[in-house]
Amino acid sequence: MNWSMTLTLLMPLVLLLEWPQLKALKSKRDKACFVAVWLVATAAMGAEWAGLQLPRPMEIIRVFCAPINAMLP
Amino acid sequence: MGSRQFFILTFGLTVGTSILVTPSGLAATAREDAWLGGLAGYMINLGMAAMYIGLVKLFPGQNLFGMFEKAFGKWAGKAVSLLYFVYFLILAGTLLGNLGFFVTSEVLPDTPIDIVQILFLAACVMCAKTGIVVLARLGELMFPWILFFFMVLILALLPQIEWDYIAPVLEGGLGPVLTAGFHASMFQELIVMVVFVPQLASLRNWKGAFLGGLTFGHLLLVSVVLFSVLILGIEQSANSTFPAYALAKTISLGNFLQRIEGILIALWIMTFFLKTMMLFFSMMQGMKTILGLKSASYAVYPIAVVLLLVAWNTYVNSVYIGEVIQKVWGGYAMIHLVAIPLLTGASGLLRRRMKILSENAEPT
Repeated sequence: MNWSMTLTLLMPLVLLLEWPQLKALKSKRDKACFVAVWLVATAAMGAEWAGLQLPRPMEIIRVFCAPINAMLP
Repeated sequence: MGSRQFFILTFGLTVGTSILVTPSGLAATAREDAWLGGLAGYMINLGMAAMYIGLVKLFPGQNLFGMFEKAFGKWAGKAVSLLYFVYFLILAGTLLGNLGFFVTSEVLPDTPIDIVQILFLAACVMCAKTGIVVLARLGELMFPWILFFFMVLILALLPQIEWDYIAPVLEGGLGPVLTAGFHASMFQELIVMVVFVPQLASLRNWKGAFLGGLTFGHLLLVSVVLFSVLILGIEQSANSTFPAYALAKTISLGNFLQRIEGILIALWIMTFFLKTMMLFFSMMQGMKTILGLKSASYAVYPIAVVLLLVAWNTYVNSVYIGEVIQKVWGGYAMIHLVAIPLLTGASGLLRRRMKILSENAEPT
């Protein structure tokens, strides 16, 4: 089963389920934060569904931590 | 949250995935002295725990993210908090990948890895929605079973011990032992508990609970490493992906008590769940502090989706993750577990000193 497709298509349901709780908080900042995180999650899962290669976190860490790792045993 | 619950959560965080993964790394580096490497890792973790206790004393009433803002200023503090958010995210995703790999390689080989991870995440999402206190109570329910399963494992393995396997002791000197201990200590992530100290009902016994959970967790870990060497021998311990699981598979008492490796799986899943949830709650707390939010519980589902993507893109295969853990993770973890806390403590001490000096310099 294509789980990335399933999860991408379920994301709008997440928006619908969480919106009443956000409205109750009466905070523009919280709403903006949720929408931003939701967009990132949906876009990333959509990219995975489309077969795009997402960056590997460990490779980014490898580049930044190379000087420190060179000094360790 | 009470101090007993804090003890259990610290224990769960210490044991977590380490019970399954670290014996192999310790055996590969320190050989027959892998158990001494485990003890060295415990001493290193004790030192780090003392540093975190010092941070809590220096910044009373603050969680980890609040400490960074107090120590480095508002915006630099938020930047550092964001680093920790990413660290916890990558760690939790890697753990999830590890879970999927273990279950599909050892227990359910025909099951797609994705469904194992999604089912586990579904349980994590349910727990995240209910709050840390529910997790703490769950830990109290799980703890006697973790102890019981561990005792069954140890007692069933006793007849198979070969004391010759542990010799020679310190043949390579202290170097490999300390190296192995250092690498193993980078997998306990005790700094996560600093996020939850302000949520304790009383701060009276928290240090004892923290150090007790750490010690008890390490007792379990060192026991598993020792038994791996004493029963499997060094070659099988070093070359197995999950030597603790291989250990459990050897149990056979009177041709009657056999195939009880399911006990280790149950033990591991419980401690793994506790560790993953601590990281999840830390991320939510981090998000709340960094962005100044009223609540972060609505972000549980999107964070879970991102965790799944991190798991898929981090735990690509066992060879890749083995290489990454060996060559990349140590330095990255050291920054978050040692370097930044040291800087935070130094900054806090400096600010306190400057405050005392300025108070003394005020004209009477």
